[in-house]
Amino acid sequence: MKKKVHLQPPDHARRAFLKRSSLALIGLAGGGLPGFCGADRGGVLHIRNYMDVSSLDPVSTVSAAEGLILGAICQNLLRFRTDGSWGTQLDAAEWFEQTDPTHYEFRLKPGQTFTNGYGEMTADDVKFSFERLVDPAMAAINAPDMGPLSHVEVHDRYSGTFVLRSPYAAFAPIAVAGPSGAILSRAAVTAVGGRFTTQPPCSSGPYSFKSWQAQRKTVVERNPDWTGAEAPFSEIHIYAMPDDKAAEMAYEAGQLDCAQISVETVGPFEKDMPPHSSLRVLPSARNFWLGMNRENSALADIRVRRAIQYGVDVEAVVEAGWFGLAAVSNGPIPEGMTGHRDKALIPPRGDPDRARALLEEAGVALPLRLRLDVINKARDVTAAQVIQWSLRKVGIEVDIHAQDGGTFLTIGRQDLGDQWRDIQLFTQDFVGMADPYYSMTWFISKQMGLWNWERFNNEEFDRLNDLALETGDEAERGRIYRRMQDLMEESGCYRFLTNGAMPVIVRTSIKPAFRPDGYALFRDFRPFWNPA
Amino acid sequence: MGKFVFRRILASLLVLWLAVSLLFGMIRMVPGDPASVMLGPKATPALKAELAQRMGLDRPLVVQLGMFYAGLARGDLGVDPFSNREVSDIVFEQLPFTLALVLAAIGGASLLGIPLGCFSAIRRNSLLDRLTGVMSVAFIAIPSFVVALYLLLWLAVKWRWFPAMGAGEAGNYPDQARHLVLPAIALGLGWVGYIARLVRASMLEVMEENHIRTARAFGLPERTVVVSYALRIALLPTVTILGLGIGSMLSGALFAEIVFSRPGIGKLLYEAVLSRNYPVVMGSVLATTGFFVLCTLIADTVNAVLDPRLRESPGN
Amino acid sequence: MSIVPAVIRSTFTALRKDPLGMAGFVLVSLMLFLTVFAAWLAPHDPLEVDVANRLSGPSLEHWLGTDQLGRDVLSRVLYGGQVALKVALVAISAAMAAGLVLGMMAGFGPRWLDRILVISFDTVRSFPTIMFALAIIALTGPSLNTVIGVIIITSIPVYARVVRTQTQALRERDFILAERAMGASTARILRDHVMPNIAAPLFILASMDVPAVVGMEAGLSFLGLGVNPPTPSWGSILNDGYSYLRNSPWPIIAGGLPLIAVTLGFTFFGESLRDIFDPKLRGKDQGGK
Repeated sequence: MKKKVHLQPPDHARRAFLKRSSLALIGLAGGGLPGFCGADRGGVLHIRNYMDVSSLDPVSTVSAAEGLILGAICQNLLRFRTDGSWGTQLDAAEWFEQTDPTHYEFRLKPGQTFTNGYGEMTADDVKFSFERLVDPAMAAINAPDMGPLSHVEVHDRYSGTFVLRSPYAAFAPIAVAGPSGAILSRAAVTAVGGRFTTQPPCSSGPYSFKSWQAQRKTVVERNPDWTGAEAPFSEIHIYAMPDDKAAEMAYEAGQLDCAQISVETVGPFEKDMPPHSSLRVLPSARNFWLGMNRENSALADIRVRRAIQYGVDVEAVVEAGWFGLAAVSNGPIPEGMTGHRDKALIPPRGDPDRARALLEEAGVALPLRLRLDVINKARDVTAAQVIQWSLRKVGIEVDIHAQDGGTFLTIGRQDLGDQWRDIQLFTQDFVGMADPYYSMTWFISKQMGLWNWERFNNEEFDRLNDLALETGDEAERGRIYRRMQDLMEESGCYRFLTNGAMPVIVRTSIKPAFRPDGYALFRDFRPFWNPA
Repeated sequence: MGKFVFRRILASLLVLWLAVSLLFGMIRMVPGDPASVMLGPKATPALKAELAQRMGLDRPLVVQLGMFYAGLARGDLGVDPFSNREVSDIVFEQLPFTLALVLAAIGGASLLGIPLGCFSAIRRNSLLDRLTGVMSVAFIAIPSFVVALYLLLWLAVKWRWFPAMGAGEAGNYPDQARHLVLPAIALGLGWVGYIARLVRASMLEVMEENHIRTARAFGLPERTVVVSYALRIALLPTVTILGLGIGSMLSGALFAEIVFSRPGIGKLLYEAVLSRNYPVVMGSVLATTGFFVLCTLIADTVNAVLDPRLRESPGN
Repeated sequence: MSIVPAVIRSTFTALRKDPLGMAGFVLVSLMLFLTVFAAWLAPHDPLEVDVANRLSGPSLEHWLGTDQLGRDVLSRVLYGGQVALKVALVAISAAMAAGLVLGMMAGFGPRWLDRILVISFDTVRSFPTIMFALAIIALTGPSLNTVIGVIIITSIPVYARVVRTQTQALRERDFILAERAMGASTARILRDHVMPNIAAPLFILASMDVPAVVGMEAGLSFLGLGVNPPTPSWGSILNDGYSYLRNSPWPIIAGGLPLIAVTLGFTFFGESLRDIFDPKLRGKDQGGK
């Protein structure tokens, strides 16, 4: 049975959304009628991506930024809806169904072709695309997305069956609809040696890959071989702009038609809206939290960790870092997704008295000095200083170590030295995906020394993580994931902060399309008057 | 004369060689093995082994040093572990932007400073002269990045007279020129006063000299006296001083590039420092130091050509 | 040492005739006063977070507005001066002390030692300063102590050269030769004759160096490589202001003002001192300073 995951925009987010939408109308009024600018210049769309591409091969993509481009140039069997829900719709597949817990059947639409003369898309190409990700010889970075996929059986030219070793509830949303499920041509990829990086040998979507300039942009163009409705733009220029400020300036200068901006610029833009633009704050599925390394001697006593949990005023942290545009979160799973927790065990404001009592009970000599590692982005450093401030009130002195992204992301890695032992406090964040499994799986004991910097090691948690994949019953999964989040909080290693916010500014001449977490679905952008 | 130049070149090369060796040595003074330091966040065992082999890290220090110099002579500054590109390619890609900025700053400062110095010399102790004097000290003193921030705040963000970031569209020269204005002002403002003072001082000296007095005595108009004779002579010391000040100009350029988000060596170096990309750090510092030493050498030589007295003193 | 009060008195007399120098002196004194007494003068705790009032403009409560965490900018600026003061004091004294020793060694010692030292000084000075600082910080990691260390290393050659020049000049003077003939030790000569003669130039050099040192620390803190949050330093205030430039111009305005005041003040004052004390320059007509 194919499951559907519906997302109702959460109330406050809906309120925020409406507020922004009405501002959008103001933007319209402020800028006059939808101007014929931007995308209308020769039908080219200029859009910002938050990171540069290091690989467009699903085997080695490292960021959602690459996945967004893949979504425009490749087909998947299923892809995300454009209505703001986490649901999926058919793409290359004519039909796709789960026949039993470990088998999924599909049938391709006939007549779909790859570019560069690589012919029709067949079930064999699907087999190739999926099996190479789980092939040990390929050592695919994204193999975990495929879960317990064993192999793909091909029945005839267009149909086949996915065979899993065990049930994997996240198969459709993550493996099939996600970037790892992009369908590649066996002939094309084999011709370039079995793998590639930034030059895909062929495309199969409404747009095809044209060019990539390092640290500048990726260009995709309308694919003449596309059998569906014609792509609305002749080209899409996707600019790699990791710096929010640069993107904001570029948008103001008219060089971009759509850009994700930083939360601190929402206010200034509202006051002084660029012409023909509308601003919206989309809900986000990121997960920001404060982590504590329980194996570090200073934090080994759970009372100390509990004291820190009570000491941090999450409301103030989120208000400061996100300018009031994001809500306090109760766990990694965002609202609208199965398993979302309505309430955390510890109140968002914290409880300084309780924190002090716990520290006293633990017999800790005050002031307790701890190190807090954060990424050196303005927002993270600001949030860190609020954490520092609130912990200072309960007798803990925090030293902030702001580091560059590249360095920061490796401090918990066991294979790169001993630095992971010295981690005490840190704030981390990552992008969620379409299924709660993806939000939770990074905290299992197997992830210690990789992404589990807290060294959180809980047998029940590990067991539940597997259990939640085996059932298709949403209510049951919800209960399991909520229990898992309770376990995380009870361990004292986590204080959940927020799921973030995604402010986006778009020209009024464009009708954009977004995933529920605010990332752009490039393929579905169209000019205002082309409602197709 | 030739002997002097030769000795100066040798001295510069020696200093450069020492500087380069210092950089080479610094990395080995840090705790941890050089491969881990250089690769930073990417120091997986496989990459470490590859780097060790390429740089000969397992060979004796002398051999490593030799390999390093040999590489430098070839123009090989190493490989950037993040993008797998040659560091020399990366550095030379960014260098033109910084050079453009520095030239624009010096050019602008000269355009303003030389006439200002001229007038100050001709009309000594006038209001303009005194004002120039004060302003020149003032602007040399204030850190250029503060000037850059204020310019960004008022002229770019508030009043939108100039763009706030970037170098402009490739190939579009007017656009690039617009993007150069604010950073060049920030960088060159201190120099306007400095150049004005220099020109003033050397003109004052020159204007007393005999052949000028003779020219005046012959009834040549003051203007001709000034422009044809005095200024031409007075300009030369100015030029040599510029060469010496290029070092501080490069430092200032770094800040200008960061405040205005311009591409350039400064920004490259800064980002490499943040991401602990040591090969790029070293490559950028080497390139700029080499450039700096070269400028100093040229300045010294020109200076010596003009002023024979300087040739005698032992490398002071 | 009893001539010190007389020297001070005559300095003041000379200063009074020089409006810029006087202005510089006033600025310097004012900044020192504000910085040293920051704890009493600051209206708020510079670290106190008050998110609700963030990025506000000047008001009765906050004369220079607030930053992105609602902290009082004026208080942070006052305390920021203490960082600048600490860095200047520590770095300049250490560089001066080391420069004194090394310069005297170079000036008075054997030729080969002089050569080695001069080459070392030139090597260190061959790097554009901030690039050298960044190269070191890339290896050791950012911290205020690293910044101070780098400033010391790059400043030593400056002091050392001045000391060396003076020492060399004195070395050949008659009365020194006489003392040596009488068997006076090098140390005694250095202490009794060389040092008093270089005290003035060194002091002047130090006061002219303060703007550069303060500027370096501010610059490195602006780059995020100096002080750690939440410590206020003029550079880190500017950094915060730069990140939130569109939301409020006040942190940048307020962070730049003390830097301008300090650099201008010490430069005018230092130039004035140089004109008073350094006889070589006294004759030259500098016109309006």
